[in-house]
Amino acid sequence: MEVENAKAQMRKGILELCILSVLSKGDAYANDLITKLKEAKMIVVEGTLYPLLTRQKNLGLLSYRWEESPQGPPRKYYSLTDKGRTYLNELHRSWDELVETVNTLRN
Amino acid sequence: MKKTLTVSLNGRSYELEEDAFKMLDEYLKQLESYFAEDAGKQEILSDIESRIADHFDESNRVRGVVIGADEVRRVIEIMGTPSDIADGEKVPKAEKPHRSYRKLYRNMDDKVLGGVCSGMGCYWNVEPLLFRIIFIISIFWGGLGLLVYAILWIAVPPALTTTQKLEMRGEEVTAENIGKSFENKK
Repeated sequence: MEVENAKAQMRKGILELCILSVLSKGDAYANDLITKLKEAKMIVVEGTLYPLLTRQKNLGLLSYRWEESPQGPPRKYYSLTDKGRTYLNELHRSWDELVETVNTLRN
Repeated sequence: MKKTLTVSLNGRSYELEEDAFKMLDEYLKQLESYFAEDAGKQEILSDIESRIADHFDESNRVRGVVIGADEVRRVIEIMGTPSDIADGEKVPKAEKPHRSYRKLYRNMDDKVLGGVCSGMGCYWNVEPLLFRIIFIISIFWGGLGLLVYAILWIAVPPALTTTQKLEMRGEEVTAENIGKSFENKK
């Protein structure tokens, strides 16, 4: 159970990095994010994404605006804020460090 | 023939079969209690609702199609239950369904005198006859039972409203249960 918990925490942290990474390449609807993250096998169920998006938005890392969509009602169109960009760079740096450390220790 | 219910998901209306409605309602309630502690609860839930609506739209492009339980089950699988969303992470103890508690009332639907014994039977989930026998026997043992009965008759309120009757039987006071007890009355 502890291992599962640790894995889940790790996945969640990495998932946060992935969301910001996708948005750093361009603004996106939640549905686009879901498609990308599902393809990358980062999420299994779609419900995982929404609490993270809301949290990151509340932290000021990303923002959204309502955009008309070709079909149906307006949708949230997410984009990375400046703060989010700085945060993402920080995450990337610590990711690289972690990978290096882990590799050194494992070999 | 099946009864249908119309629901609004984030501002869009959908017609659901009754069992499909119950399933979706139960699912959304589970999510609500899972996110109960989350500061962004309302926003998360409305995002999820709107995504569920998207899925319904995708599979039912023709307006007026009634959504069945299979469709709801499929969408829940895609969205994930609270434990899927928690993904092995310890679920911050999901709020227990509101525990119903019993209250002592006099049962006016099944009474010999004042409904005291019947009410006590409901409270302790015991056959009321047992209390009736105890009271009758105690009357012959110095009459204390009579006094106790009289006091209880005065002190214990009668179960008159549907809410009180549900409380007396220890059932949860929900719209559904109130509806049920009306059906039973008919």
